[in-house]
Amino acid sequence: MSEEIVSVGIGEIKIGRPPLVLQAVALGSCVGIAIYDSAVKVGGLAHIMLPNSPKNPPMDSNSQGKFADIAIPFLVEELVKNGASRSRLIAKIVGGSKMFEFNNSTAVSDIGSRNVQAIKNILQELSIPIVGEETGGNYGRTMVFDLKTGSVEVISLTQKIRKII
Amino acid sequence: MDFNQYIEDERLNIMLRDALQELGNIGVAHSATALSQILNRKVDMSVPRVALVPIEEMYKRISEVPDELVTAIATETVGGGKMDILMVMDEDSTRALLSVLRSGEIPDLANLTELDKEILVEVGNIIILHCVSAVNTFTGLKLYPLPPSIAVDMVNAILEHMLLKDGVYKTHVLSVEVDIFTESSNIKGIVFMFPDHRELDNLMNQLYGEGWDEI
Repeated sequence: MSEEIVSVGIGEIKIGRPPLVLQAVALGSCVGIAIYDSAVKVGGLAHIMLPNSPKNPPMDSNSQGKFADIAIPFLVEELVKNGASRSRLIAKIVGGSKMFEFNNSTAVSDIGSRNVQAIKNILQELSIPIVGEETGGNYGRTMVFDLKTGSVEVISLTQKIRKII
Repeated sequence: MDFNQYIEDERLNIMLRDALQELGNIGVAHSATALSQILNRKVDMSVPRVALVPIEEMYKRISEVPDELVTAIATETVGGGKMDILMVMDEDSTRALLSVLRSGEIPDLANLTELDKEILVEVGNIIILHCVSAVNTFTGLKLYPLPPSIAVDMVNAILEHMLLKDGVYKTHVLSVEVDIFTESSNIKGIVFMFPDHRELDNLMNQLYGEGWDEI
């Protein structure tokens, strides 16, 4: 079986099975979250932009993937529909960096770490353990999620990092 | 006024484009003079291509390759209004600019030295200052840019950061695209300004007078 690589763009969610490989390219302050059930080899990747969905104006129907509070429960539901078991799900998170350092930076402008914190809170509520994490810092990352093994490769071009979590 | 109104209404679009073009011309002319003085050689700049563009378009203007490495210099203004400003150059332009500014071998983007980055920040700072100064002269606003910061990284990671940094997804951006010519090189830089629609309305009100959109 040759692998097939599918890109998960900003604000998108995709799920699948082997030989599919899901990738989120050039994550900055966004966070890529890979959720996987190794027993049935079903997994999904969400490329999340912001912690919370806006209350006003209400969201349009194609923005489930943009906000952590909606994207993660949606992703979990989709995985369960496709045969995954809630109790076996594990998560790996990548991204949430701060690309620029400003002297007067306020907490508000560090959206990356707010994303990471929001995602951790939601995963905890859903009792999904985080088994791999590569977040923070001041550089962009690409993540490649292999649905055959559940491994996530993290690549940074400028830091010359290439590792598996 | 909503950004889409500016784009969809032909008359508004023309008024906005004229205003932005004028701002761009002034900003670029001043930047060229400043760069000539620093480089101690003749620097020409093209007439800038100025537009209010939807975000999807912004990505295309820089690169179709989301993980292409680019040089990005960013800052935000304080004072009369808060606006984020980003200047982006691709690898060829970055190396061409550095080769004008210093001697010796120029590394590829992944291997720039700290000194190279400081040089690039300074050039970015000059260009950004003149763009903001043009906005201020024209509108009477008093925007002051903070000292900029540099990131050399994957283009989408940078754009995404600028779009999301305040926790609100922006839909449109002001784009000023310019070519810089010296005798030996051709450098393309794009400056993006991220106003929200209040700031854009404010800018148009200053330029054309209150109630300009009801004439």
